[in-house]
Amino acid sequence: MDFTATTTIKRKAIQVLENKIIIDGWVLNAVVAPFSPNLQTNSALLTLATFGGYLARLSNALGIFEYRNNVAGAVEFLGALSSALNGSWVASGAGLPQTVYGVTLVDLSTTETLASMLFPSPILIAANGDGLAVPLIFLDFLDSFMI
Amino acid sequence: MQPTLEIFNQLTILLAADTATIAPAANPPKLKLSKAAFTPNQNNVPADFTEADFDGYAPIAAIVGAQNVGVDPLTQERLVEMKIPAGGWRWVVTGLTNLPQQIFGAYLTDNAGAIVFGAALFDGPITLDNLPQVVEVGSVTFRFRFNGVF
Repeated sequence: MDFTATTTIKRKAIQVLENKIIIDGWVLNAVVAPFSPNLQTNSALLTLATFGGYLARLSNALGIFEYRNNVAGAVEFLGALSSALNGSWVASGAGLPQTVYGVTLVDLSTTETLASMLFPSPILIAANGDGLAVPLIFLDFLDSFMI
Repeated sequence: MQPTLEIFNQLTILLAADTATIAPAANPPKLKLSKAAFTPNQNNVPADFTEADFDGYAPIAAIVGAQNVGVDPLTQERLVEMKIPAGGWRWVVTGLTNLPQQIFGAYLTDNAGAIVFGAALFDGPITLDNLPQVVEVGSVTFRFRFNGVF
């Protein structure tokens, strides 16, 4: 029998997830082959960037996940950049050109892929000096995420 | 972002083991019956319910500690199920006091009864008017939906 969860339970579920991701740490990867974000997305299905100057961004460089309400009222779970220095990937070596299609969020401890997203359009990194901003990443929880 | 199943797996595992709500080491949640109509929603509070009072009725305590997790085989949705206590979520009318009485559904609270964790209606009210009639809740399940996270 499905029970309608109250806000107490919904927020607790998000908070315990938040705590785990903070404790485990996380990595943001750039993906350089087309992919379709879905429930089954995992690292084996993805081609990660390899161009010179690229490094996967670790949580300790990017900041922590925060838990807040967004302006539309949904509970929002946010991965925020900690400084402008960590805000971009800039090509500075071999391996070009590469086209970056999106990013994935990976649990640093378990190496499980937690989420992924496409950019509005692919970004071509053609020459040294080309780059892209590391995006802010969000997980939005609507009220409907639990019955 | 598009979450993966791992997000939902973790949500269920972590919630099922949360000692601050549904999985305390002592003083477990209780399942209660409501004898008045109510509307299950995320803002439910104890005052939304009128607790049953037929002979044989008492809140049923859940099992302490981590609850069960599972997957709906039809939808793949992730589930947290309260472990079924000995004797089940089952009430038997043992006397005629306060009968007839209609039972509309069940709700899960913390041990003190101050916080509602969830509620559900039966398909229709159950009228109790004699003994040994029985009211039974098969499972107390919280369900995560894929389309609610993005």
